[in-house]
Amino acid sequence: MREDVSIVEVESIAAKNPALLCGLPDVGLVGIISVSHIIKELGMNEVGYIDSELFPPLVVFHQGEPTYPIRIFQKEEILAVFSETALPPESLYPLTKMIVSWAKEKGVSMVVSLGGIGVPNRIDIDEPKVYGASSTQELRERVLQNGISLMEEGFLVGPYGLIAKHSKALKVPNLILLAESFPNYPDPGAAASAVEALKKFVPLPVDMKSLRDRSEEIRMNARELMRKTAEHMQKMGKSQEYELPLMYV
Amino acid sequence: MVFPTDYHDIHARLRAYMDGCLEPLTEVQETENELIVRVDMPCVRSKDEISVNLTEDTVSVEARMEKSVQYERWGTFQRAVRFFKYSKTFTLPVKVDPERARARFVKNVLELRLPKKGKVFRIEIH
Repeated sequence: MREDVSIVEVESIAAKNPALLCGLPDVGLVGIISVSHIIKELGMNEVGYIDSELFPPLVVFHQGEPTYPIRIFQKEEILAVFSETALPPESLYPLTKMIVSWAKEKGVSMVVSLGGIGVPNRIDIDEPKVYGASSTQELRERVLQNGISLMEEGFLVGPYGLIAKHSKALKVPNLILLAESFPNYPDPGAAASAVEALKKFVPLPVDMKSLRDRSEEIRMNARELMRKTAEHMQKMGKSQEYELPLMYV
Repeated sequence: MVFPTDYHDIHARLRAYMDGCLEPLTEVQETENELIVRVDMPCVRSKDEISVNLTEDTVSVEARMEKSVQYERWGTFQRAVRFFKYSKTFTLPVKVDPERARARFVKNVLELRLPKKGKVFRIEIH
């Protein structure tokens, strides 16, 4: 059977029950901004990449060297998957399935999906609230113990919805942290809230000041990625997250 | 010769780039009585740098950035260009009443509230 997505480890990954952080393109690019900040702050090493014929036909140059747009980083017991490109909806199912299968193989303690939840009044919110969800009862309890509101009902559309689905099927603990965010603008403020919430579950010596200080620079730099991501979100029916239940039982 | 749409997009974008002009990210939300337009404008220091022109069915927004922006480490074409303003004109999905429009600029986001044109009549149900 042809594999739609492949993960290539360029360095051996030795970690005991690491947490895997996912920064994939979604609402407000919250996951991408959060994970990018964590990678920089921790000085994480690039240890692999993910490739697929389903991804856009592009390569990213960094310091003159072509690199894969979706890469894997590691620092001690933390792994991170980070995408620098918008992902077509048709690539998301095999990609997320591969990420969760690989995470299981690596014996991760949990897959963490960092994302945003679009709110129309974001302009009036100074400290975005974070909502949590999980595939396991234990993590749901920790969400509540950590003072985070639990997302009890509703749709989650996109990469993090699929990660939740595959995690449940493969019995991999999945923690979802969603910060209130501008739906269609890169939102470093929401990313800061998401990382602060994450620190309650995973010990991360990450300073948030530089993220807040670089807010405008990040918003400028992430514009085009946000534009493409918004187009893809529209195609995958992201608006369903804001609809009333189709059937309430 | 017919070029694919993307090709024209690229040309329009490159022409705008040469004018030092970035197209801001924009979203339009429709409620029962109004359109809410939000325009993302990082690097614009205050509302005094923004001009908004409204007709019943179009919005034009232009804003000067606090300092010009250059993508020094990015691309071959892009890094040769300095951007110093945002500009965008777009058509609204319904007619609005420009005289009753309101605007505010918070967190580097311009928000326009545009009441829809036309009176809404409430009818009694017998």
